[in-house]
Amino acid sequence: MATLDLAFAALADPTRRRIVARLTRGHVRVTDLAQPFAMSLNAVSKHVKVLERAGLVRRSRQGREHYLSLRASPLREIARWTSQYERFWNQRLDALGQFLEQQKESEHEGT
Amino acid sequence: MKGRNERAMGPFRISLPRTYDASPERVFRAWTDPDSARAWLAMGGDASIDPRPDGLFYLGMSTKEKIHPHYGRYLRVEAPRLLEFTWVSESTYGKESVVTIEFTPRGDQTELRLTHEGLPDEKMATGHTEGWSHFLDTLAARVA
Repeated sequence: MATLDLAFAALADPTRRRIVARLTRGHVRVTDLAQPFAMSLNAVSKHVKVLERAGLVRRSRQGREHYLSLRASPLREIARWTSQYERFWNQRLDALGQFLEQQKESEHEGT
Repeated sequence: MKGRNERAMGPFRISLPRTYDASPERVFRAWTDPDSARAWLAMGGDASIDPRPDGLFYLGMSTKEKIHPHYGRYLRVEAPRLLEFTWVSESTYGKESVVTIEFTPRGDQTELRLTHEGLPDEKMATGHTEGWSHFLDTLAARVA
């Protein structure tokens, strides 16, 4: 599957979105991550694995502790995807500005 | 069939602000007057619009290569402050996205905010929309 598909699929789950939202504030230990979710460590680990597979989360080891951090590139790709629509509307709204300017000019010529 | 159909909408949303050197009345009219809409919105292509609640529009946006048909239905037409319509095209993959445009007077100018929501992604099925758009807005801002 393409990066974007995996990222979309991974983020379709509300718990995984909350995990990602938590990680935007900085890296965190897997054990600490489990606490606010009222879930077993095992259940949280499963969600983390899905996020890792989607390339959204990176795991690193320091001694016996596993730390999780966010990888931004798939998120950027999602942002880029929605930017297609932004480009479209930016062009149209520019055209509206030009139209309004022309309208004003032709009115001034008329008076 | 009044109102938006949340079930037919995708999960994404964009929002763009603009300021124009014209009154809200004039900017609003540029969206709802057929000749004006043809000129700038439909890029000179066909425009058939009926700007009242439940009225339909068709825009045949013309580019060099081809005509890009856009269809929609007006949801709210509140001159000169608010305009809202559904927006269906090839690039919404048949989803009924919704465009909301707010016009706010700022002295001699008009602040326009265009919000396009219910945008689909290419493959995602419906049903996973809760919390999505705000979440992605926040993330996109953080990773930008």
